[in-house]
Amino acid sequence: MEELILLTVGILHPEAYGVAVMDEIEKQAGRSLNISAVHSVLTRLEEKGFVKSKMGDPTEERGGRRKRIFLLTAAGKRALEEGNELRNQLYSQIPRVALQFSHLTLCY
Amino acid sequence: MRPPRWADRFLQWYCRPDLLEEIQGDAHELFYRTAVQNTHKAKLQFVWNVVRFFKWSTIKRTKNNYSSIHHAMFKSYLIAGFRNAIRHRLNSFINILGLSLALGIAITAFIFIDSQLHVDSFHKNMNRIYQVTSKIEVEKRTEEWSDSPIMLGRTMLQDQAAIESYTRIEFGYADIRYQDNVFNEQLWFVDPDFFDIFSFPITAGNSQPLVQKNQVILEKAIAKKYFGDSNPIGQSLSLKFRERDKQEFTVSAVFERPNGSSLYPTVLLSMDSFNDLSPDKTND
Repeated sequence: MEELILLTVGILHPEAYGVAVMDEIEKQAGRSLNISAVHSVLTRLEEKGFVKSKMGDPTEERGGRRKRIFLLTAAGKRALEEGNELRNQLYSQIPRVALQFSHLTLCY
Repeated sequence: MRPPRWADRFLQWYCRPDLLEEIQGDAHELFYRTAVQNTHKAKLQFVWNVVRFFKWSTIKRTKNNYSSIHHAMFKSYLIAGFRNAIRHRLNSFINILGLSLALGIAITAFIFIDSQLHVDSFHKNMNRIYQVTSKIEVEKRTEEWSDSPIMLGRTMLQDQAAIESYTRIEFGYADIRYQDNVFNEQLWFVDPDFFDIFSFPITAGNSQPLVQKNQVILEKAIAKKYFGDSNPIGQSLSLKFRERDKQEFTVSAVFERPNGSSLYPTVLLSMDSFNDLSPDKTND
């Protein structure tokens, strides 16, 4: 979940904020998250140092309120790379038989 | 068209002021977006979001302990401090130089004193080891020599109940050869109890080596000098003493000399070898 949001922040650069992240995840992964859940994950990521936040442009139709924009830090990028690498490494270790489900349906 | 007023005011009441702008902004944005199609759903969604936002991390605290640390204030202090220093360059330079010198000297003094206080502290029996010296009267003066007669050890062990063991140390020199390496080394002739009394750690060989007559015990750096990285245990070195034929000795152990040692043993041989080499100096 955190990784998903971290990836989305990277995708939406430089316009990554609460509502945009929520929409993008719904569009790409089909998961509809509540805005408060997205906020709490973003806060947690900022505490861990994976993202940095700053307040955005005040010219807005949100009743004049600014939005908090999140940017990936170097540590965040590294964390994403490591996660990706780990997943690929594990995936490549699965024996071929386990991945080929089509064969199982043929012989019963 | 406004979001439900009571929910909005509830949000403004409980929410932390520094988060209010973004949270309220997001909630409003979502409301207006859905309100285009379905106002009822938008209102419900707004109320639901306000409820979901009611979390410990977003609620106002009684004291000002918001955990978000803004580094801007520290940065401004640093910048103001630097500007001040640059304004009075000489003064700042003298101050900083003096302080850093003082700090450096204090740290150095601590390290030095600590190392001096802990010289030889690695010996386990340190407070029971004594060196016997002699006071000799020479030409109406009394001199203090750091050694004692060679038979004193055995005699003292027999006569005094307080003595547990003794070791004598005699020095000598010999040329030592292993294959192509020939060096002249200082030798220590010691009694078998040497490693019981002094706790030099043994890094190779048997862990309590008694110094047998045809065996030699090497210090780690010296073993490396002759044998490199290969195992010296069991190898044979030939030693040539002055005016004598060379003799073969077997390496039985390697020991290490820790950093705070005031003794610098190099090559250990048995006292029996010394007796053989200088029979006139011992009257066994």
